[in-house]
Amino acid sequence: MTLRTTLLLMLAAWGSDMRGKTFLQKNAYFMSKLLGEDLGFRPHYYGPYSPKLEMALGELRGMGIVSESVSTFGVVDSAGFQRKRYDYSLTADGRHVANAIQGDLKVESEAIDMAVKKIKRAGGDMGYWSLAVAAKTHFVISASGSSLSEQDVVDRAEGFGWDVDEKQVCEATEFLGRLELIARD
Amino acid sequence: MHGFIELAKEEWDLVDTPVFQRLRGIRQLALASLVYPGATHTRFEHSLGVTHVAGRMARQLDLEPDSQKLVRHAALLHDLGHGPFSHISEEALEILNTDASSGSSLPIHEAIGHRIISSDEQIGRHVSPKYAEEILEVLTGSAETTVMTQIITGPADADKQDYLLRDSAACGVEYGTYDIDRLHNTLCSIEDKFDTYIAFTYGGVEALEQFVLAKYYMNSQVYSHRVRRITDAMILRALQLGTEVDQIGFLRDAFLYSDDDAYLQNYLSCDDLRIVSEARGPNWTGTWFAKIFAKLSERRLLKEVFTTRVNDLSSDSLRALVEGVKPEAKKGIEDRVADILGCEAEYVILHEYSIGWSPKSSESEIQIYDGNRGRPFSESSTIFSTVEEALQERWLTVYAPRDSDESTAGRKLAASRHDRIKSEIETEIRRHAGGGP
Repeated sequence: MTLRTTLLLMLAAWGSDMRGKTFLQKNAYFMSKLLGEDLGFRPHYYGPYSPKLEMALGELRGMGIVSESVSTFGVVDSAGFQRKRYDYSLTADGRHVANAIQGDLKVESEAIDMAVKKIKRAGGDMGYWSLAVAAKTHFVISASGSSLSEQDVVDRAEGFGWDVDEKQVCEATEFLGRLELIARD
Repeated sequence: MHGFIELAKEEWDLVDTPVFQRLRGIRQLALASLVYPGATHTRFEHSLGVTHVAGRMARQLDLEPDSQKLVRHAALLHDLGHGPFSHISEEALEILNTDASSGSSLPIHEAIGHRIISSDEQIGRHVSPKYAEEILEVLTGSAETTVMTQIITGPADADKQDYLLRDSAACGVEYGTYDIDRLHNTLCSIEDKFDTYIAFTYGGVEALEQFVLAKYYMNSQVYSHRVRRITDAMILRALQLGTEVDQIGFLRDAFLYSDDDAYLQNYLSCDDLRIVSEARGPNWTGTWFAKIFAKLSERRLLKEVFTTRVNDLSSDSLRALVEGVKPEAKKGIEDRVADILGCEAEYVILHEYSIGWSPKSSESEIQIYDGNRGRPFSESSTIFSTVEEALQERWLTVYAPRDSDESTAGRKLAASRHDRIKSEIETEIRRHAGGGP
């Protein structure tokens, strides 16, 4: 199954718009961990990021299967940076294609469905910033291969260039615990 | 391109090695000269240009002298692994070696380049094994700081900066021009406790937009020019048939990858000139390899007999294309189109492409420094999204031999053939996806 198909099935399972690139990337990260699949995530300024996923998203957009809508929030700082959010959803063609693929790839499709439901139940609909912290926290814990305190996570995250605090890590580990991606002592 | 370029002694030593001199025989844009007659520039001068630009960037970023030297050497050697006709060889290697891998996560041509840097005897006279490893760390992104890698391979790297200007000048177009001085003037870095990244100050946003537009226009008007796509597809087909069907020895030796020194020597013995002279020589008369190259030499090119945006196909076909056009479907389509047109299937080529976008070069990764931290370029650029969308649009085309007939009857025939070809494509795609006709 190609990454394009995986991403398409994830969008179909999500059901509604995925609000923002970070939101999409981080939820895809958690889905990949639940499924045990390598979707090409690597450390990045904003947390684990998959360039291959970005490319697959672009290809699905280029095929007219996924639509992107841009929301702007006005000028937010004196430097003139305008905050934007890119939302993604399936087009009518995309929904038709997803239905057909779900019929052909029942096992894979159901696994993705279950993973997405689990993420949503655990709170995967939270804001993109909290999701990003959760993804960074999971990445740091996975990379260490051992038990870490919240302070340890903060210190090691700094090594990846990530600025998180203990309170954020605590909330993140609760979310990760609900996902059963980590065990809390 | 850049006025006078200065090289240090050790850089001249590397330039004077046979493996670097070989780059004089590999054209940057393959046979784009059939469209733009001036496009005969080679990987040799491009590599020198990238070295110069990388050196400028490293100085602007105030890197330590040793780091500046390392970045220049990595830039100088970054294209050593290119095969005949540049990117066409990359594609040929991937197509002809689906059961093999480079032994790492690298594409085969990159693995070849890295092997050259670490084991070529002549390079080894000027570069110690430890230093070769440092060069490879810069090229693969595992160096001490990210900034060194980003100078060579990143969204606004020295490679792109050189080839946009060089290709534009060689082709005699203005599309690839941008203000490189302003770009460098606004280049900066963002540091945290453990790493350093490339960024641009806010004053560089317009120069970056110009750069992004240059890349878009070069992609859409030159790199994806219809005739260029056709010549690239014909070269690839010739190499593929020459290796797999004609079973030509030197092609098999060069394109059937093996991770050993003997393979490397065979690969390095091939450049554009060798391929063309072998094709036109007496040894391979009557082979597909020779026949296709004869067409190229005489500019009897295939024509674009069909083209469609992928999202103009039916939903059922889209469903199959999500997984990509399977080789069996491609073969089936080419056979059916050959029947419709009354020509040999070896001359029919199905090509799926987008104008040009990849995560390695996505401008979404460019950071703009706001005085405090880095912010994505997309937050400060109004044109970025529009360009990105255009670059991602996917197309499906078919190239085949066809005499052009501009009469009314000829145009009617072409239109009815177009509809038949579209129908056959959709049928074959669905058939091989399991959707059935």
